[in-house]
Amino acid sequence: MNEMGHDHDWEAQEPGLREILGSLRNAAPPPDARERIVQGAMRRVGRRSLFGHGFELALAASAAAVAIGVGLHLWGRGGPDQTIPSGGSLHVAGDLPTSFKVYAHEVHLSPESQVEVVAAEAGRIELAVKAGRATFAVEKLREGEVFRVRTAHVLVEVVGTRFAVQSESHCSTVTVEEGLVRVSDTAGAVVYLRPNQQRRFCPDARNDALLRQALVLISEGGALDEAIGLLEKYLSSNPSSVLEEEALYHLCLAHARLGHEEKARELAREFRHKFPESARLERLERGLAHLREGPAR
Amino acid sequence: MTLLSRCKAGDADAWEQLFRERADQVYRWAVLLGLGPADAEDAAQEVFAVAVRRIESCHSDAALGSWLYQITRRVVANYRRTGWLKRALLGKDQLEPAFGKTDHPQTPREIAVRSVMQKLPRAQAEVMVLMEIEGFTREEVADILGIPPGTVASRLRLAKQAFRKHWEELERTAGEMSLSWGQR
Repeated sequence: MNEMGHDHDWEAQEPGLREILGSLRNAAPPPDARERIVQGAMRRVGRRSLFGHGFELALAASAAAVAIGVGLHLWGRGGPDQTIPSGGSLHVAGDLPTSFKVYAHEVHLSPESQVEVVAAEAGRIELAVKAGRATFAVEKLREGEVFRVRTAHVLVEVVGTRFAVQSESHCSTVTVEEGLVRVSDTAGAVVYLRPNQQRRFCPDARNDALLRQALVLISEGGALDEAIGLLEKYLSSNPSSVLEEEALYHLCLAHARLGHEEKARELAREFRHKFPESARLERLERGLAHLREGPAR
Repeated sequence: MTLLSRCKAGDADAWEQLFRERADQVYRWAVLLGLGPADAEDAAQEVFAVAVRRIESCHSDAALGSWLYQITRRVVANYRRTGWLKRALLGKDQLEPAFGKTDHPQTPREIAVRSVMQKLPRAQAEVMVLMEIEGFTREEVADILGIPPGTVASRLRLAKQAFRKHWEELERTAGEMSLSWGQR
């Protein structure tokens, strides 16, 4: 070892190791992620808490002045509640995060994000994340009230909650912090997300075709080997997709029908682990029971 | 005035400067300690929030890096503990690229290195990250982790052996990723 504690012998024996690990030496988050970290940290610590009491007094005085000014302005106008945006309006965050309200619900935009208010009517609120990431704090909804968020890839319907939607060029990511949301993708598949769950939705017509083709083969009862190949290709190119449950279920049963006992059991374990509350679990167990009675071709 | 003393004096601009200077490093640590990109982002924010509350316990500008690392490993450990439900419900997600653009030429290697690191015992992986990626000395790592320098050396040796073994396995199963050992 040298004086720095690094091992020269190792470097001599394995010259690649240093380079492999060194490739991450200056690894950095994407620029937008870095900005979110900095802005998020500033927001979390709160600029006010970093200043002395003198500043807080000055800030309080300024806030009071602004509040009086806004109050006088609204008094003079007697106009509508400015916190409710009109349908069709576009909210854009530049370098800094921004927030707005739709009735009692709060929408927080991360830097470089855009949200369009498609509809803001009593009982129906519909928003579209055009770019970047937005977090929604939704107040308890009344019976029949609808709060929806769209991206190019998914439609998220609120069942009462706090959640975030991130829209990228090919995918959208939905993260639920509180409550429950119902997400449907462009293929119409529906999934419910609970607190601390996150799903990435990347619709791909070619991948969906793989799954459809495999299901047709299975329903026709033949060419199971070919169906298995298509399902495996779908799952490997589409991890964590909204249709993963369906693909894994059919893959497991196809192996079971071909008598691939070990493989079927391995996939069943994976299915149970990933989808412990799936309604398909019982049917899967019934399908696997055939294994004990010998392969059914 | 140094950056640390300005931060201790409550200078908001100094804090923003510190966050900007250290965001990449803290995020990288969180990823290399096993978090996904989204959690690593949140964890980095949490690390800075803790840093603001505990800044009085940092004694010098030179110690800022190791002091932030100590906070990071605690925050990441909390994330991993509270993330068990998510992992149990969703299963082990495939690793997503966490650094730079996803089409960056280093992305396959990034994923490969992270997947191998995840297979190492956490204590060994940590020593490897600190010494081989972050460039801390053995004594600095011993100080950060609160273990004797000899233990650091033995953990690093074991980490390298394990890393090599898993890397070669990966190489065998992912030839198309062009990860040939010793040909880089």
